[in-house]
Amino acid sequence: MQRIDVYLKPRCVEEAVHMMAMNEGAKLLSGGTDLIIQIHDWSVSPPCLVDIGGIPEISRVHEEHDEIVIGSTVTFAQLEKNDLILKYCLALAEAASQVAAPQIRNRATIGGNVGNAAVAADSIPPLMVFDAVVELASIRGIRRVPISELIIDMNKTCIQHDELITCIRIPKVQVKSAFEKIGRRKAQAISRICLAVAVTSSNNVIDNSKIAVGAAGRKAYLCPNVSDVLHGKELTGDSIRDACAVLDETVAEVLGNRPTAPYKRAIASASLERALGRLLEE
Amino acid sequence: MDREMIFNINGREYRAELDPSMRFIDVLRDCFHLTGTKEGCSEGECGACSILMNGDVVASCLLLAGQAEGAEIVTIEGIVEQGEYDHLLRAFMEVGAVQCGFCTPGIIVALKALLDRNPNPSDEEIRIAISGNLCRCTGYQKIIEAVHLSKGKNC
Repeated sequence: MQRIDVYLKPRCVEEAVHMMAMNEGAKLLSGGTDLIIQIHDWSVSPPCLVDIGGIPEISRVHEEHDEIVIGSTVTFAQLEKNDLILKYCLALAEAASQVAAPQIRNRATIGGNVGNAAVAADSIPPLMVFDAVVELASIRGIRRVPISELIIDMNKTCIQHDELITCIRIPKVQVKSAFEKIGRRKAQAISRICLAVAVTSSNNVIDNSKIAVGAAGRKAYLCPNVSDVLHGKELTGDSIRDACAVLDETVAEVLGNRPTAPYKRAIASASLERALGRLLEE
Repeated sequence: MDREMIFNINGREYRAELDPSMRFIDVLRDCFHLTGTKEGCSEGECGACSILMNGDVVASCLLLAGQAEGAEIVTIEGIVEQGEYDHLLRAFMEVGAVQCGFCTPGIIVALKALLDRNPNPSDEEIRIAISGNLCRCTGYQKIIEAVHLSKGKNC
């Protein structure tokens, strides 16, 4: 492995953003489960690493007024058993528990998953259905960007090279939610599809629902036309079937004549059927 | 750039002049000759390089020296030395949960992370605990049997 000239370990966010501003080409390191592979195989060779793994203020989940605040260096292992996440963002806890394997979940962070913006990133569909907002810090200050706007394309976000994700904010609303993933095997699998749903209803009638799907296009996306089908209906076998049919069409439209399209549309609607089916049983 | 680094490995202090951006598996094997930790895939898929970091199982091929500094590290050598899991090691041999043995150190480390918290795990919990460890010989069933056999036995 080649030598990296400078390895910095800031103790707080303020120190980290200064280091990012002062060191051109610096890369942020947190869990390192993607970056260390890239450094080792020479596909990335940053002159400087800024290791934000030891910053306490961004490594916890807490409540702030009417929001759940997830620090960017919170690991998937933390997420899958955190009480606030289990209570308010179940789909995110379910997604976290299905990422890779224990060795990776103990290190990989939500900030890294969002920042890398991989097509099959499991945390992104849940964050989309929960209306998550990503907070970015740099020496210029702080800005907040909704997750759907943050991710521009495959592996591409609007995060500037000197910015770091400090936290992800989710409105604290009691919703029913679920996550489904299909991979080639249970552990260590890159999702062939990942899907999250969040539903609120009054007197059993759905008044708000969100459906987001990942690994079915260049980036994850919300499916408002599926929400439209569910709006004002009760969750039943029939309404679930209708929603799945619309999702099938949506995915087909996004993927066009890509060779995976017939498979992806089938597994996307099967995943939606499972996810909504679980909410129906609750 | 090299600097003096201090690690806490298996309860002992290890010092060396090295680059904090070195992978920790290289530090363990090449600098400190702790070669029980194996390198398989180099990308966090196979679990052969598993170690404990503050009690959690992690892949040492996906860890840099700078990240491991200051943490409490336990490797397979530490587990064997301490003797706390001798009954598990014996059960592995008894039921044939070891064939070529390359994955075994990583699997024992992953199982220690489980058993330290949950001394009486179910099949499903064992399967999840070793889901990041590939074994191409045993088919895993014997590994699970070995854990059950070792339960409740003392050294």
